[in-house]
Amino acid sequence: MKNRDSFLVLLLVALVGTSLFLSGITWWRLYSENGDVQAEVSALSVVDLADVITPDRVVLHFGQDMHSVLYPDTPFYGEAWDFARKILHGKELVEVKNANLDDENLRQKVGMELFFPVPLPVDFLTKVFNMNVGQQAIPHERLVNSVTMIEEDGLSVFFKGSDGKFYGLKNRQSSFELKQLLERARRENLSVYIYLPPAKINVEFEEGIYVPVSTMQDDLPVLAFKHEKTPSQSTIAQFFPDFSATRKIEEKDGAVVYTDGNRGIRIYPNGAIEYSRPLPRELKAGSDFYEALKIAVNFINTHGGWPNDVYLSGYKVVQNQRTSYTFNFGIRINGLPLLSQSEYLTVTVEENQVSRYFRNIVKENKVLYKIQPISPIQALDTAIAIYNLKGITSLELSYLISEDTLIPVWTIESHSGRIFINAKNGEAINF
Amino acid sequence: MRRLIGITALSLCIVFLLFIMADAKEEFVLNRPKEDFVTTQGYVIVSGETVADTSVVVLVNGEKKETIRVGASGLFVTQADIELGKNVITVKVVFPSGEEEIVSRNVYRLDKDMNLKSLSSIIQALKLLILQ
Repeated sequence: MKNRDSFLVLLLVALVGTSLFLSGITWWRLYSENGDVQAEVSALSVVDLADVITPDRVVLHFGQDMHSVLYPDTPFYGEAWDFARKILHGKELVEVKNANLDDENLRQKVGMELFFPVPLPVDFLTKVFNMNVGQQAIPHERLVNSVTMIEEDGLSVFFKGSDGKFYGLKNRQSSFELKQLLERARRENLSVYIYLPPAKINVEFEEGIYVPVSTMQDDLPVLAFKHEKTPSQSTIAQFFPDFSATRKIEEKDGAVVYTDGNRGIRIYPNGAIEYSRPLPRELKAGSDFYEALKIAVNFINTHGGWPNDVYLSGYKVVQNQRTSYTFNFGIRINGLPLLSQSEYLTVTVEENQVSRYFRNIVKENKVLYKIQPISPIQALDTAIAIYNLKGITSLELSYLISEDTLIPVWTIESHSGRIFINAKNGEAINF
Repeated sequence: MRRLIGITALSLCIVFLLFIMADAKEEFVLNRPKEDFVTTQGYVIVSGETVADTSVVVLVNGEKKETIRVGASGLFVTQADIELGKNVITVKVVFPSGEEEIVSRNVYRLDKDMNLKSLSSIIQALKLLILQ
C-alpha cells in the first residue's frame, strides 16, 4: 500500500514537472517569435500610407541659430510628425508664386522642417493628407522634399519642391500649438545642432549639414540581428488562389519553389521570399502613384504582415505600354536607415496587380554594446583624407550590416560613390 | 618694334603672375556668428571653413577660449561662452604657410526675460549706449 502511494506521488510530481516544462517551452517560443507574431497580427489592420512615408528626420528650429535634429526613434519625433499630419489634414494647398523664401531665412525662424526619405509627388501627398488642391492645378509630376512649418504672425506651412518651388496652405493657422511643442522640446534638453552652409574651400559640399555642437553625442547600440522566420504554410497559401493546385520543388541550394503554372514563389534558405506573377499583355487597368503604393502596402500587409520600422526608401516609375511602379522599402534600425547592397522589401505594381514581391527582412535581435559616435566633421575629415574627395553630395548617420552585426556608420556620398566610416572609431569600411 | 612687343609681353606675364599669387591667398570664411548676432543663450556657436591643417584660435573679448586644429574637410565648429551685453568674438587663423588672418564679430547677449520680438530696437539702443 505504501509503495503504491509513493508511486502515485512520484507519478504526480513527474506529471506536474512535465506540464511545467512544456508550458515553459511554449512561452519561451512565443516570446522569441513575438516579432513575427506582431507582423502577422498587423495583417489584420490597415496600414496608413502616412506611416509608410515617415520623415527621415525632423529639424526643430528654436531661433537664434539653435536647432535640434530628431530621428524616428528620438523623443518628440512622433509628436512632431503627428502635429504636422494634423495641421495638413483637410487643408487647401496652393502654389506659392514669386515666393520670397530662402532656406537661410526659413532656418532662422522658429519652426520645424520634416524631410521625407525620398521626394514624393505633390498630388500623392495631397491624397495622403486628405488635402484640397483648390482651383489652382499643380502638375502631378512635381516632387516634394520636405514640409516646413514656421512661426510668422501665425503658422505658415510650405511644401518645398525638388525644383525649388514652394506650395503652401491657403489659410494661415494659429502657431500656438507649434510654439508649445517647441517649448516642451526645448525643456527636454535635446542635443543642440548648428547648421553649416554648403562648403566650398577645401571640399565642395553641395548640401549644408546640421552638426551637433557638443562633442558628446547620444550613444548608439551595436546590435546582433536575425532574419525573419521562414513563412508558414498558411502565409505561402495566401499567394495562390488554389494552394492545392501548386507543385512544390526543392532546389539544390536549399530553396523551395511553389508554383501553380501561372505564378510562383521561391523561399530562400534564409527565409527570404520572392514572388512573381507575369501579367497578361492585354491587361490595362490604369493606376496612379497613390493607388499603386496603396496596393503594394496592402499586399505586404496581407502577405507576411507589415514589419515594424519599414518605410518607403525609393521608387521607380516606368511608362511603356503600361505603367509599372517598383517600390523599395527600407528598414530603420534605432531610427536610422539600414543600408545594404541587396534589397529588403520590394514590390512591383502593374495595372493594379502585384507582379513581383521580394521580402528579406532583417530585425535587430539584441544589443551587443553601445558606442559614442564620432562627430560628422571627424567622419568627413577621415573620408577626405583617405579618399582625397573633392565633391560631396550628402552625409548621414546610418546602420550597416558588418559580418553578424549591425554597426552605426557615417555614410558619405560623393560623385564617385558611397563611403562608409565606422562611427565608433572613424575607420573606413570596405563594403 | 619687336623689342616693344617683347617688353609688353613680359610685363603682361609679370602682372598675370602677380595676379595668380594674390589670388592664391589662403581662404577663410567665418559662418557663425553673424555680425550683430543677438541671443539670450550664454554661449555662441563659432563655425566656419578654411584650408586643411589650419590652426583656429577663438577669443571672446580678447581672452583666448579655444584652439582648434582643422582637419581635411576644412570645417570647424565650437562654442564660446559670452557675457551679458556686448561681446567681441575674434577668430584668428594661422594657415599652414604661417600666414595669419583675423576676423571679429560683435554679438549681444540679452537677458532671457527680454521680449525677443523687439530685438532690433533693443540692439539699436544697445549700440547707441555702447557708442556713447
